[in-house]
Amino acid sequence: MLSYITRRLHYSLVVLIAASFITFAGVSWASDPLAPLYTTPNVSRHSIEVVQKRKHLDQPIVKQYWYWVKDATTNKFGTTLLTNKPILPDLWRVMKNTLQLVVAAEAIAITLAIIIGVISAIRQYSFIDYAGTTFSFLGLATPVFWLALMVQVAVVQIYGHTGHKLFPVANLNSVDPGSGIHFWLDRAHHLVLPVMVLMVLNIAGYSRFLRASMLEVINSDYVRTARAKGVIERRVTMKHAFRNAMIPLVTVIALGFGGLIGGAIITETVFSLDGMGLYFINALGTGDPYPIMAFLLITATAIIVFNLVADILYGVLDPRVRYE
Amino acid sequence: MSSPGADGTIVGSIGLEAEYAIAQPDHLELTYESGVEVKARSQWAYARMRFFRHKLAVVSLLILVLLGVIALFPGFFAPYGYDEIPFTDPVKIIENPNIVTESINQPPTLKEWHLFGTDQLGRDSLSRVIYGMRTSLWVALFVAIVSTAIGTTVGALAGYYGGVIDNLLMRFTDLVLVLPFLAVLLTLAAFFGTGDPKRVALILAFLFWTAIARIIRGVFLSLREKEYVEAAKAAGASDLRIILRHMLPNTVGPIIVNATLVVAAAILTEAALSFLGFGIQPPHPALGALINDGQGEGTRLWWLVTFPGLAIVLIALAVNFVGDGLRDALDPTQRRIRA
Repeated sequence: MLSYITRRLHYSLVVLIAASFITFAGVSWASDPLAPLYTTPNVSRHSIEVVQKRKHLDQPIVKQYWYWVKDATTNKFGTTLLTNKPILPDLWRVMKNTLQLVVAAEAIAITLAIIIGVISAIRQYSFIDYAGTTFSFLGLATPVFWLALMVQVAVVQIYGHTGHKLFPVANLNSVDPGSGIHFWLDRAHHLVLPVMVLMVLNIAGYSRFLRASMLEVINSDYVRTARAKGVIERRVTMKHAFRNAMIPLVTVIALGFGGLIGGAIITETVFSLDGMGLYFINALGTGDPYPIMAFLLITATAIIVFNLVADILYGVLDPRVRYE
Repeated sequence: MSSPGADGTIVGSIGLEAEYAIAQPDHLELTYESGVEVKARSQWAYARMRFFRHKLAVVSLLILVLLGVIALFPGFFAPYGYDEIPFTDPVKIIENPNIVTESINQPPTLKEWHLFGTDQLGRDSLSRVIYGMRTSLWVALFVAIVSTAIGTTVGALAGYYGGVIDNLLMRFTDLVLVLPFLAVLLTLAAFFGTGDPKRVALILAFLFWTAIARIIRGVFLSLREKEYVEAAKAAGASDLRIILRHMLPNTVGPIIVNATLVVAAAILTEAALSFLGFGIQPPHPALGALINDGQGEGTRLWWLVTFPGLAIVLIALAVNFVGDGLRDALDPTQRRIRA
């Protein structure tokens, strides 16, 4: 087991280094982050050269990459190109905000998906089953950004017609959020709509998957055996079927993590939340490789760790799976 | 289905599996010997029957055909031009001095066929949605065809030969899987896209083919061990002939089903890219770009964001249903949810 984990981590490290080099080379090759300086009238040739020297932009890409690796490992991802601002403090702040959004959305999504999926499976072809299936089909066909916009439209239109202000449609906090409990209540109030939007896609995906997985288990031989020997139905569904149907969900959730980051990028942009996604979009706008690389490296590491944890967890939950 | 390496890259593709087994119906001989008269049907006839039993899929297919025809002849169906501003002609302003205020920001109305309303420049929203749909459908079809062609070729070679090609494919897939999909796509689009639909389609196809390649590779891995492949080899057939004549026809089911799913995924992804400003950009019309256009005033002029979005949902939903119907028809072993 331990050798399996070390082997996986070694391999992931190689993939990570390769991915970072390709992205760095691609970004540096395709964009000139100094472009806005050339057209600004009061920036002298000399100050442009200073920036160029500081970030080694006059060097070949392989050397630039090496300088970036040095910066990333010894200098906390380095500083931004034009403003020379340290990247890590900004990244910490936006990461905390994104985590609040993502964790809340994922927790609610998993809970609701389990409820919908299990009920749909044990009451197959009931009203709840059809409603759940319709919802997941719609959820998988609806673009996240459009859903976010429509929610905003609905809230603003309700405000315009009835004067009720249901939820804030932008930002993480009010201008003056107060402190302590007031701050967190204000934050929660602001996160209601983004969380609602972000969780729809995952509820749709997870509940459909759980329904299928649950149906498969319910129709398996050992469940029939359990019923045949007289185990009460509640115990059959909860103890025999449910626990086994849940196992593959671990993998699905771990693999969905990358998609969740994509969802966060979109949700944060629409609701202008100060999170990692918006940070990344803004960084893409400037073409500065350093913050782009910092974002990609952190999310990639998170994805690798998530997948590894999921695989290990899978082995713990399902003893038939062995890792050599 | 409980293999941990399931696919995570295509939106809405829950249940794509690497292992496919193709059922070969052998009803013909049975019925002949038992003396019951049954019409002889080809495998395609059975597939067609199974597809037409799926009502939702048939209705969805009709809707898609209708939308496709509209998208093919936008000049005929759209009441106005894509960029037609009603008050550019000075003569019209002299005739009716109020034309500007009368034509801009109109909510949906039957008057002058502004069924989806007009935008801040008085352009007809319905016509813009039709032209946008044209671009979005074109991009999605292009992505589906190109990524399926590349994915099938690479997957078939990797599954049949293994070795270097297989290794390269799997390493490249690892590289893509380790990064968040949308972020990679955004980075590529930000630096290599120019707002042109062709570029965006190429970038999407470049990232979508790996998922198909992995699926086809799985099918080929299992088909390679079949007796008929062995028989063909013993008869002296070349590798190319075995792949093209014996194995590929048996993977048509998964290929078509996955190509359909790619259409839905590509529509949604392109819309998201264009909305974020990194995909198709004006003056090229696209549904996501239309929503981006209307976003600033979106909460007030609600029709500008509502209708292009509804068009996306309608297309994606219909494509998904058709995909489900095709899965049932062409690939019956893949029915995951028991009927």
